[in-house]
Amino acid sequence: MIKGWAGKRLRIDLSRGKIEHEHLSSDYLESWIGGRGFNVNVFSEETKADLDPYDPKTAFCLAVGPLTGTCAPCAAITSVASKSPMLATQTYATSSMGGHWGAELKFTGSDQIVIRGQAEHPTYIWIHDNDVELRDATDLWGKDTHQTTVLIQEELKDRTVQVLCIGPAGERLVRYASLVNAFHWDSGRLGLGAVMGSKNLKAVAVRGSRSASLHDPEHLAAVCKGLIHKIQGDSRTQALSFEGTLFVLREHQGQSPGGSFQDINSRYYRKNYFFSKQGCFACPIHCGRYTHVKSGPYDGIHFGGAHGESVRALGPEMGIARWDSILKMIQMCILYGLDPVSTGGTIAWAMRTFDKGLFREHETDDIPLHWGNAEGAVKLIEKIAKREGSGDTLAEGALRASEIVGRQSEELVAHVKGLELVGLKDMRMNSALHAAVSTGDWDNLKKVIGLSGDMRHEHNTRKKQGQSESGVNPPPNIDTIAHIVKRTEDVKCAADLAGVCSFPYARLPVLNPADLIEQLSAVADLGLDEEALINASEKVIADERRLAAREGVSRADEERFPMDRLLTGDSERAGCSHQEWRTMLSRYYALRDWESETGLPKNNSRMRETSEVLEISEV
Amino acid sequence: MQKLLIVDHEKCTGCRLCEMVCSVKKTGVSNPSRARINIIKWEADGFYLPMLCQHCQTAACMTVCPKDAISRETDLNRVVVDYDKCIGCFMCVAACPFGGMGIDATEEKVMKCDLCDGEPTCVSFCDPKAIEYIDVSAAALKKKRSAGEHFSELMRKFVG
Repeated sequence: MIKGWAGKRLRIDLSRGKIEHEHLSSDYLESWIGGRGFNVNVFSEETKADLDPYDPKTAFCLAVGPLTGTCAPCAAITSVASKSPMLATQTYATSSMGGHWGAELKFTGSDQIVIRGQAEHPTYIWIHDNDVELRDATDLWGKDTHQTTVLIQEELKDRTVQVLCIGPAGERLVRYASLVNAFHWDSGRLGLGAVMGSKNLKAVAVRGSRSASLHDPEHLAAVCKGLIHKIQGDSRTQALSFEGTLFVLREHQGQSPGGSFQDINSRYYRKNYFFSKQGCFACPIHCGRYTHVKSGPYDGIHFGGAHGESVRALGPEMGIARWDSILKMIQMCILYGLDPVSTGGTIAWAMRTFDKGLFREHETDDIPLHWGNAEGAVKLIEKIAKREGSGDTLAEGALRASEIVGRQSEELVAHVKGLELVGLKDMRMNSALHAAVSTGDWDNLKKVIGLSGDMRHEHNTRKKQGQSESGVNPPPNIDTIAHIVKRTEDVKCAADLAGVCSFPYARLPVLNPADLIEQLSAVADLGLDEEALINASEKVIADERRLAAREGVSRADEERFPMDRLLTGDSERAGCSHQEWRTMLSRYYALRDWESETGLPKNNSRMRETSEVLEISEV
Repeated sequence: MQKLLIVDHEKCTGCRLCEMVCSVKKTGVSNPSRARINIIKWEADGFYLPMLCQHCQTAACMTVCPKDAISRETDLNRVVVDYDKCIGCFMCVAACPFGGMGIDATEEKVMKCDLCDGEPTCVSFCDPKAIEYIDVSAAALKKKRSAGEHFSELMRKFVG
């Protein structure tokens, strides 16, 4: 028996009500590893180009990795993949979701679920070990994510059932609808919740009693204990544990206009709204937060899921500096099943458009949508989720809404490939490049900021040399940035393949790929070394890029990056010129072995060769 | 000095790592339904409570066992099962008021926390220290100090 994986793929056809259990061979498992690998393989082999995201034939995939559901630290990740209704090209998109759902899926004895078709009436899938049932969800349609979770748990008479569901936004095909599991852990960006909605699929409920088998349990426990100590001992993860993902709010302090957002930081939150910490499955960091509001118009709201990027998007991005309104809006996004980042980005665009007189008051249902109008934004979120009035336009996302509104409002949209960017002139070059070229999703959990491991030393040395020569910090080194982004993408993908959170590997690289290898060999006896793991990541990313290119994503989409989102000035984090941006893209394409003109991956076999060439030129 | 495995629900973040390491250590697989400890969740409120055998002084499991298979071991102050005597009637499972005695469906045997012979694995993996294995006397003192923290802070500020 293969250890580490369940060794099974579940195929569900909602149109025909057909359920198949497919055995996965050990060769297959070892070659694609898990999560993002299984998903991209299904899409590459089984789907045609130009399928609409809402076409019943479009697959909706959920997959976990060999480490998911084990005692490996942060072994919580499910990769969610389908075609994104949010991206301008509506191409293949993959998103990593934390929470508790993925591990439970593993305990039912499946590594992946592939869902196709469209149910005749609202339906939810109930997976209990080997038993799979399609159940009527007519009464759940219209319910928010919290109510849906409770009602399903009550119907199944089991409080430990893990429910992954959409809210009203997903049902009404809001293009940035999210999926939510365990009440508030979401797969937010890219609008995959709307794909579920288009299939008439309200939820996937799982409960398992099976074991995740392990190759060498004793060694695994020892390795994991060591890694947890490493995580506990690092100041970056300590800060993350103490501040939650709200630590990202530090990055915009001092750069906000007029300093009016000085209270929008983790310290103020902790003092006034913090209720408790929460962890995803098997996580020793616990970046999740439960929030309790004790006064004001939103007195008594209590919810989990306040994350830094959501606060930025629904606060400073819209000119809102009131914590209670921001928290109320985050809660609304979670309940309605909306991506808080795109929600904030879209309303912020609407506000800028309104202030310029391009969006008129009668078009916003008489809401004076000035920048900073918190009450207006709260009203608008409900309208978006229900696609009422102006909400129907805004439910299309900022880019598509600007096409509907016209009047040159498109110039005010800050987006890359149709996905809203959030941040007030404070994106670092490496985050920006990552946002532009990433084949997966990117948000505060996934975007590139830090220098990963071995590159830190090199960068610091260069910085010192630059300083000693000119007395100021040198401008960002384009080669280094392209290299950092590639490396971080590869490591993030490796974590997604293994089924663990990429935060401690890529975003804050406290752990490294060698640690992943140790865990993988203890769990699955994989004959992988670090190079082979990174090669597997490269293969998956190349396939994802091919799927994107198939539907028209090209260099042009990445060249038109809203440069005004980048930091300006002389600091090492400062932005760059268009020329430098283009050079950086070319450099990144060369590292990936993608065609310079089109951004299309060349032959797979050349991948290794290129990275070797690169190593030499870097030295 | 006697030690006690003590739970602090306020610190628990509901990650279930304790369940995983318990099952890995005791059964060699990762499976929460075979773990001796479980996190009971009121997820919508953000409230979590680790539950496991309390090693009661007057243990209901021990009282109802028809074969005297359950006994108290004074060294570690724990309640243990002698599987050679156990007949698998599961009376102890029914009698325990906390669900501390469970059934391992794979091995068809009762299962309970045995404090890992004095070095509880779950404790060593719990980052927020929601479960601790400490001296009996220290346990109460620790709580007193933590409860008195606010009082002492105020007194030092305004009086001292």
